[in-house]
Amino acid sequence: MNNESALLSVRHAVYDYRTKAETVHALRDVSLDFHAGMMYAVVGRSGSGKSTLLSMIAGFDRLKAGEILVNGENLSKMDPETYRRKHVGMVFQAYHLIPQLTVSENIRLAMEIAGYVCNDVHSYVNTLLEKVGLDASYAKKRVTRLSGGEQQRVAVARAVSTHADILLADEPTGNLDDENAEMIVDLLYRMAHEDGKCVIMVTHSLELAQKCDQIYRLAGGKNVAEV
Amino acid sequence: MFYVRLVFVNIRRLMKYTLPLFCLAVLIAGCVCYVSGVHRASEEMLDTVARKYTTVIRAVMYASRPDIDLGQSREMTLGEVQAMAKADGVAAYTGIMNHMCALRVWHINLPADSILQKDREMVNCAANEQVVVFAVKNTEFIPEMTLLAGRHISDANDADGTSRHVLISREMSEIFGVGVGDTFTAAAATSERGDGLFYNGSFCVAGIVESGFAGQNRVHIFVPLETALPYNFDAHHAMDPDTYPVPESLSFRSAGLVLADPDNALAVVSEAAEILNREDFALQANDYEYKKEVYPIRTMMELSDIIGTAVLACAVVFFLLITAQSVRVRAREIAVLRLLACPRTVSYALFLLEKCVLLAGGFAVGSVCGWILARQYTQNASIILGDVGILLAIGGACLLLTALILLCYDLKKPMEVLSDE
Repeated sequence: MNNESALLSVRHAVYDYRTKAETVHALRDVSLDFHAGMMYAVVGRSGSGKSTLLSMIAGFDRLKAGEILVNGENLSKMDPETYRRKHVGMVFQAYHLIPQLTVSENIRLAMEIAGYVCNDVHSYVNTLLEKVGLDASYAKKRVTRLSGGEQQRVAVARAVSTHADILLADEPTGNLDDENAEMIVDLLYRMAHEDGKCVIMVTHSLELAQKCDQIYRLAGGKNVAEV
Repeated sequence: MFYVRLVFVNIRRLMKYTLPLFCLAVLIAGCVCYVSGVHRASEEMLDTVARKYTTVIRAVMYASRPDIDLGQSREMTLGEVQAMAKADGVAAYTGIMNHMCALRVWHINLPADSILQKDREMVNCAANEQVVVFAVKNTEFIPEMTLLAGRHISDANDADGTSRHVLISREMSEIFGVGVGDTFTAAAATSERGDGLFYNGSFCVAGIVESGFAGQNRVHIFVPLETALPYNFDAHHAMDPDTYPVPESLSFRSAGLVLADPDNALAVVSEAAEILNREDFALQANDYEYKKEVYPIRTMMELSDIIGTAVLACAVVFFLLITAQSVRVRAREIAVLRLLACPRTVSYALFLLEKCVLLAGGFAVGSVCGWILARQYTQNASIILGDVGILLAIGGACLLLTALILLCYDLKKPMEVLSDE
């Protein structure tokens, strides 16, 4: 695919940090492209730099060298919070929903933070829930009363509620059984192909990664292979 | 609106943390209002006691004095009293004694009772009162002078010296053969006054007295001085106590009552006389009674201060500990908000607004509870601005410290916080 048409381009990304004992080179000259409407898997062993790469793409931290381009614009020149609100939806292994809130409130909170205006929030939330395979009755349930799979679906609904074009998923199936894991990956795949999102999933599971359109393998902070 | 709703949702659903905070806010406000109410009640009680004993002390003096007519005479204006106080260089007077002595006319303005002065600014006290001066039934004489014939010089004309009525000693009467009603002319050399001046001219004998001084000065004419003549008895007495002994009558250093209700004066006096029927114990007893009544009130004030301050301090400390605990537990929530790109100001505002609501609600309930409790002591208990000011200060401090706690927990990056979780 043409690099210039990439929604997200990581160019010669370098990131290191210091621990008490040593300097850890988390990313060493990583260059990757991500396109809208596709689902990517980033695989590699623990410490290979997968989650660091995701953090950089999410704008949680800045690269030491290199650049990340979003629609051709350098991320380092953008306000990270504004960028996250406008472009990024995130799904985590531990779901990271706010436990005292209901499903609907969790989704609405993300929409409020992103400043996403919707005339009929109620219907919109129900549509989102339907999209992730949950019926409208879930809207008023407290998230703590849901199963892991259901919570992860709510997390996906929350991530896409703001119409973000980049969906980052950090080990989204790590806490789920195989059946639920497969459902979530399918869901993310549909988000990419039906809604045109650029889905980037970090995972240990090669089996789930096989379902993605493209796999990037990282090792020792470098991208070693594209599958 | 969503955020505001969210605050109330959090308060309702996180009762485990919010209920103790609410209860502590109630306790804080309750303490402030209760202690403040008790203080006000105690001050009222002290005021009442002070008034009561000011009255009783004066009243007992009069009740036990057969020579003083308890009938009410003229009322003096506050201006007059203050003018006298100013002239004498004292803060205020609680009573005015219009004491007439055979030889001299004294206007003696007496300082307020020292015990009562400690408790109350008598100027302020008097500002709302009227001073009632009791008439002295018979002119009081120096005890050494016993009237043998005629009358004491007690009329107004006698007192101001214009009538030129005098008393003469028994010895003088015998030596000169002068009786009551006789007129005689005194030479300058024979009519030296106590202050070293001389009187010349004719005098009419109003009465003949047996004088303790007569033994030393057998020919003694007792001449009234002008009312306007300033006479500082204490100063004279201090200089020469033999010449100016303290008259017995001056041991009762008051002749007025400070009463809110002058019409009630006689009833108060009668009551006081019944309570304390022994003149010599009157002052001591009243002082004792006064202290006996004041002591528990003061103790109550001090105790309520100590307990209130201790409870308040504990409540604030617990409030902050629970806040710290709730922020620690909810650090994940803060991190999630940050992950969702929620600005710090919004996430802090959410937490602080939550605390604001808890504090405001708790303070409102606590103030009412404190007020109700304080009403047990005083009907005048009210939630005044002073209490609100204190509560605002405490609430502000709590919010500030909550913000600091939030800041401490927010130093880590959100991803690190969530990884720790």
